[in-house]
Amino acid sequence: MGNSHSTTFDELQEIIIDLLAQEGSSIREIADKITGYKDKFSPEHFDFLKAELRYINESRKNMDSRVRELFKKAIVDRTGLYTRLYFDERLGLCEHTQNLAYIMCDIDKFHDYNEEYGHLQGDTALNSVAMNFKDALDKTKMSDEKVFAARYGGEEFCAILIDYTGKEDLIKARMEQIRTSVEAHEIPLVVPAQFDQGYKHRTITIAGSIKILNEPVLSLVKRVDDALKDAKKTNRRNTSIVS
Amino acid sequence: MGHTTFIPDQDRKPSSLDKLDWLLEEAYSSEREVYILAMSKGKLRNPEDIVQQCAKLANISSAILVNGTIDFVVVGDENSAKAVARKLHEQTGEKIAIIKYVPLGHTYLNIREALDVTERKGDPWHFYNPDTESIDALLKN
Repeated sequence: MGNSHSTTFDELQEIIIDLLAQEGSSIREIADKITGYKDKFSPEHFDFLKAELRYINESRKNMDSRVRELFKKAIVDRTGLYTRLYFDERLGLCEHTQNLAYIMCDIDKFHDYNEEYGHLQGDTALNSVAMNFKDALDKTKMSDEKVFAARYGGEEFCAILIDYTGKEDLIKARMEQIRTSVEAHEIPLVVPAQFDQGYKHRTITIAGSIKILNEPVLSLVKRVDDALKDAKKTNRRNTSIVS
Repeated sequence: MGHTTFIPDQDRKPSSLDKLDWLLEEAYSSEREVYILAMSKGKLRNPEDIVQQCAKLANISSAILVNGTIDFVVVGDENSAKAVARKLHEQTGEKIAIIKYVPLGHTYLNIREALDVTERKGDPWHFYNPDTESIDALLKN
């Protein structure tokens, strides 16, 4: 499995959808042809041909939806958030987007959680926090804002807020809301075990910022990344905003 | 006969179709209309240059090469979309299909249908009306 396999896979969706588009052109041509010879058919036969073409066209559109759905699955991480690679590409498209905010969070002492409750329970906690992070982002979304959340790596998650028009105090309040929501959310127990109550909740540390005018997106990411690192060093379970 | 399990490739990069979806989703809101202006890449020698040059035209929010097409995202109304189509045609000599963006539709299939219709009409630019010009509409009559 080298790059050549990956490239083929990248192109596969485009090839399939393009073939479906070409099929549309053929259906139109057939429809035009049979309409031109309408008088040669009985009304029943003509309707039958049209019904068949409608069926083929409908199948073509169904296949378009299914192929798109299938390929979307390939860009989602096991936590249900987008993969890092996919996120990076999306972030790259935001280079010239002015109203942009970036948020990053990290599960506190996740290594200890894995050690204490095992990796199966750890995976459940990871998925649970990821979904709650995304839900909290969606619930606090401003109108017309687009949220794109991903797993940054390990137990770190991130999100870009496109068309974010709020000020710093607003995003800080929102991040605090996300942090407390994740903290309050109960992590389910994956297998029956005699655990203490500690498995049920996990805290996060969260940092974020708003893109400065003409700032490269990578600079925004770095500022937030540094702020998160500092916050983790000094005080976990924290909300940190960087200017 | 067994069954095939689809194993997602976690290293997959987004395709140009995905990127077009993003650009449109980003441009679209309940309060503003979004139009796609499409031209066929056809025999163009440097489609990348056309993307670069035309992306700077007024009212174009983004431009992207998707398979055999060059697609421009325009935020505005029908008249501004037509004005941009005229400019695009003047600049490239290509026929331009104008499609109103509808979220959750079969965007790329619609683009290709619109280009098909535009090509058949022979006009420099054509405002595609799916209610009367789509394959669905054609087969209803």
